[in-house]
Amino acid sequence: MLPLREFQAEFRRALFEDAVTDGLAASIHAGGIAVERRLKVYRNNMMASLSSSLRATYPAIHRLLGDDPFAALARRYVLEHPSTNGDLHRFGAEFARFLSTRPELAELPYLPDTARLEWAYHRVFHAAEKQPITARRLAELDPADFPRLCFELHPASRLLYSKYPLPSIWRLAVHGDRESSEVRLDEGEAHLMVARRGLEMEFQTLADDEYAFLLQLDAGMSLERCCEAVAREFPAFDLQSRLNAQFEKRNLTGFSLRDA
Amino acid sequence: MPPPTFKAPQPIPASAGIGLRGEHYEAALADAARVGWMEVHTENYFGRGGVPHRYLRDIREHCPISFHGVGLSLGSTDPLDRAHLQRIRELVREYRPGLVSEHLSWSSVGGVFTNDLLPLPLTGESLDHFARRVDQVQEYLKRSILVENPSTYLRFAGRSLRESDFLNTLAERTGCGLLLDVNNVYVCASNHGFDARRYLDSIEPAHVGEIHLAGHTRNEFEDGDILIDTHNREVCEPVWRLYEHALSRTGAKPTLIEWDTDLPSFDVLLAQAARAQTILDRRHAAAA
Repeated sequence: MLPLREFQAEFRRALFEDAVTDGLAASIHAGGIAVERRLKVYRNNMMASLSSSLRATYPAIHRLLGDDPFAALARRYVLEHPSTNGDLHRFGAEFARFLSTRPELAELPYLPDTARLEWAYHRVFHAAEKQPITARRLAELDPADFPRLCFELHPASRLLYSKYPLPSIWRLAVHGDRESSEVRLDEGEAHLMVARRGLEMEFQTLADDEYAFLLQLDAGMSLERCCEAVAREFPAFDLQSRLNAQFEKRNLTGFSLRDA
Repeated sequence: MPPPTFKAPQPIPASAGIGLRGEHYEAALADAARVGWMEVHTENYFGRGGVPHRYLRDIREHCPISFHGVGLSLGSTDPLDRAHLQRIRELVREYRPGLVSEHLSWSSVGGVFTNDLLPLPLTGESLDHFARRVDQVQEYLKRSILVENPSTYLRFAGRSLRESDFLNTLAERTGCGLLLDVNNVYVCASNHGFDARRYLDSIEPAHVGEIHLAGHTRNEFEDGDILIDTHNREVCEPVWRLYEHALSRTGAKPTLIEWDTDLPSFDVLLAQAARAQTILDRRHAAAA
């Protein structure tokens, strides 16, 4: 019998590279069903559970590609981007980038962004609960402090930009809506926040300046710094109305004052 | 985070329980009072909020909960994943499960996870290693855990311990309990040609804290058949008979119906649990 560490390393090679070393073969009782077949049971089990985890996280990609093409990509992904965590929910983080490298998918250029949307959806679905704050909370503050305000975005929120109309693509793929069985890919870019408020998942469609504002805010910038950065690109940026909208959408869960 | 709501741990009764899966949340909540207890895969609650936690909190109000881990990779020679262990501890503190269990297996090496239950060679080296890991986990969680016998699809060459001896010794050394999966015993006995009853007879009854029942699949090849632990169908008749045999030694124990793929309606699981409960009731009556 190999030492345990060596045995495990060689077992992994058998699963990922289909390579059964002499040491591994000698560790396994021969007779009856061939050793290769027995190892294949483990390989198939691993493939099946990791592939089905990918399918659960990426239902739109699965629907857009169909069973067999998805299964082939999933196999490849499992081998090229192995799982690195005992929590299966972490598996599949690189799937969007992986799809963007596949030459056979070149004619479906919106797939990687759709996968980014699904990963964001997956992470937000499992993110923490938090009570939103209301605009009234700001009344406790000295208005002179407003420029130093930093807001905390709701933990169940992810910002996402795509030049494709992602929500339409996603709805069509996942819900197979017969009424709108076509999506015009040039129907417009998407500035999005994938959010969960309570148990409800939502795609918030944002104006471009609002998206830029939330990106700054999410990076921990003070209101003053946010406004400076956004106004450079969007001179007409109206902080008051954009900030009010965040309270209404329950997007903010806390604030702090940055030292001047 | 909402404040912790659960003050007291609820012990798992020696009755039939059901493995809770996300697809059954609504039905399980509606029927929670009719089910003796439920068990979840711990890792399915590694997220911080949302639907899974909402339902688990509500169901926990009506029936005791057990945590069954599938991702700790206890038998691995990689260091224990502290973050994984820490999340289990947080969940144990929040939900106060009646039982916490893991598997006699490994799933990772060199940082790569197969997220599957891989077979551990049953050598002295493995026993020392596995016992150390169980010690670490129990120390960290400040409670004992149960370790489950897995389904395996190959046997090791050369000298190795019998699995039942390995498990008995593990329990004696570490104070952990055993989760006796009767279907896994049946699957292994068929795959490796040993007598399932003799395996059950050689498990020290005092160590057994829980029993699992599930369905499996037979894969036929030209050089023989392999039973695979697929959890995708009803418990088969020979496994029900083995279960009765196991209970005749251990007495009534918490017994879980596990079903993970091709999920049926919750009613089917209730019916399987009812059948286990009938057998448990007979055992209770015999002991009275």
